[in-house]
Amino acid sequence: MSGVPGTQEEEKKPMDQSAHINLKVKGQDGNEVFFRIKRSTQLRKLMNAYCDRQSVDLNAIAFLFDGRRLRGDQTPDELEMEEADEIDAMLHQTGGGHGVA
Amino acid sequence: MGLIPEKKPTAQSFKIITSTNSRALPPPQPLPRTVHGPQRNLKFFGSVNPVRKSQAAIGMGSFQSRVDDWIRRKATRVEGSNSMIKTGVDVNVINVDSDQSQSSDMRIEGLSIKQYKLLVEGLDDNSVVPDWASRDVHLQESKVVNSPLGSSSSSSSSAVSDLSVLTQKTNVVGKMVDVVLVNDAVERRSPAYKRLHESSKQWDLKLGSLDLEIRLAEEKISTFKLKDQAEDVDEDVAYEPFVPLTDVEEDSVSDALFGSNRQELVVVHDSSNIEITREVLQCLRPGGWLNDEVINLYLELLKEREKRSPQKFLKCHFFNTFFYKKLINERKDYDYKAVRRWTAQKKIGYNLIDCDKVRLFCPVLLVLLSVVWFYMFSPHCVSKFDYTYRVQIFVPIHKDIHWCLAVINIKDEKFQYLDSLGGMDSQALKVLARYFVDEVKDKSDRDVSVSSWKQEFVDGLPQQRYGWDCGMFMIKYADFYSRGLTLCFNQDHMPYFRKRTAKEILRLRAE
Repeated sequence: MSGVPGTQEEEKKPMDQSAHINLKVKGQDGNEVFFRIKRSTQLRKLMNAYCDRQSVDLNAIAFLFDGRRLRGDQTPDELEMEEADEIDAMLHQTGGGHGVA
Repeated sequence: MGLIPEKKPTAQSFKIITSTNSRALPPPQPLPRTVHGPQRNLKFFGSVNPVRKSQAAIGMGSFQSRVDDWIRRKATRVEGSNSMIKTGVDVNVINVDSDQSQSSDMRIEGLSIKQYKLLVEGLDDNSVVPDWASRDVHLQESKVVNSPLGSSSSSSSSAVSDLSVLTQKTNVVGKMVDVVLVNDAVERRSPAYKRLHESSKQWDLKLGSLDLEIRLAEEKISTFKLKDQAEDVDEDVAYEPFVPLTDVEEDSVSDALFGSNRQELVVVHDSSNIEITREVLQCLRPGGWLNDEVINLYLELLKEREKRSPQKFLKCHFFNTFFYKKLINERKDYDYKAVRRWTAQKKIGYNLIDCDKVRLFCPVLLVLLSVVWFYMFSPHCVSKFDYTYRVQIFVPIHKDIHWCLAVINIKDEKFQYLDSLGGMDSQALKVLARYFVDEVKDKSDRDVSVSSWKQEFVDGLPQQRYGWDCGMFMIKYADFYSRGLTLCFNQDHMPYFRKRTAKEILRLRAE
């Protein structure tokens, strides 16, 4: 009986540590912003925080993880993100040709 | 093709039959009365008579009599086999005298064929069989006319093998008789059922040849069908990129492109997480500049299209518009690490670079084998690609306000650059060459040399005439190349392509 709370504590400790994750958001200009969020938190929170910090409209940026677009309702758990993983914040692109430019 | 050689045996059989007919023409000699004794010669001659009769009247009754006759002969043969040389002498004597034994044997064979024909006609009223029969009769008649009447069997050219044997025999009368000849003579007197069986086998050949003919005809028909289908497919392939929109599709497209609620989410693509609002989609209006979201979603749809019908489209990989931007970082430095994880098999569901060794399909060249063996185990081996896998990798390139397309063409071993304004960017191709080497090294742990690969700035590209269609041209280059088609479109198709792209995005399905 006495051993049970001890093991629970031991299990809790890494659980606490792994409940949070450090993520890096890298902008197109090379700037990196670090975030620490819960694994179960929706990434919308991180996106909004990044846009606030960079003073850009959320709609102007495409967030990518390993080349794939991120949705606001996705969580690090869902995406199996690991510590220090990188998210790319890319500006939307448009183009028509040299002629008009 | 295969019919001619198979016809030969039957033709030979006709010859033999006609020879007997020619010999049957001279009036029959008066036959001695049957002597009830061990005189085999007389017995033999006696048997000729009913056969001649049966020749005159072909029917089941005469056939029965011939069978009876053969049963009697069988007994004679058993007798003869006790002393082979003696039988041989007998045969020779018969031959020298009148050649009757030969002719009678032959006639029976000929008749048995006729008999067989009658049987077949009686059993099965199939139109094909009477046709053969009539042809057979005709052949026989013509042969009768051609062959010299009453000529001896040795001079008749039509009775080839058996008669020559007999001619030889006439030369050795009174001398030693060859055992082989005797055996031959004995064999000739095989039972009627065997003869019938043998003669029916000739028809087996004919039936076989007809079967073959039928099969050939069927195959021809099927090849014609296949050809038609192939032509249809070719037409489809050329037609498919230009299928006009239906009225309903036109309506839905114009509603999406010209509707008022610009913030409305018109489509969500789950697997790529791309959400398209009406505002974003409206870049497909005439004259609009294409944005990354429409382009990336369209490329996703091309990927899905290939997965849906892999037999119709080339195996390709489509990078999104951000890939090249990440590969060349903000300082314009090459940065493989930034995109290394983009192509993990876990992420994209397949191996981008399926690098395989040279596969030996020719088992003949042992020398080559040993060379390849050496290369397989040498540390710095040069790899070749398994072309059954990804043959093209498309890389959209965004140049501030312009869209271009670069292609890593693995199949043709070249790096291509397609700019609807005719621009050239050898730097981009160099970067992609480097990326390709690094990617192969990273994913397959192999060294690949692209030094021999060509850099191609594709000539004769469809070019944009206005300052807003480069995005449309770019995605159509990818569309047509992934179909394996040449770029058979021009500026005039752009209004249609814009509407078509809008339709395909709205339906989340590229055709």
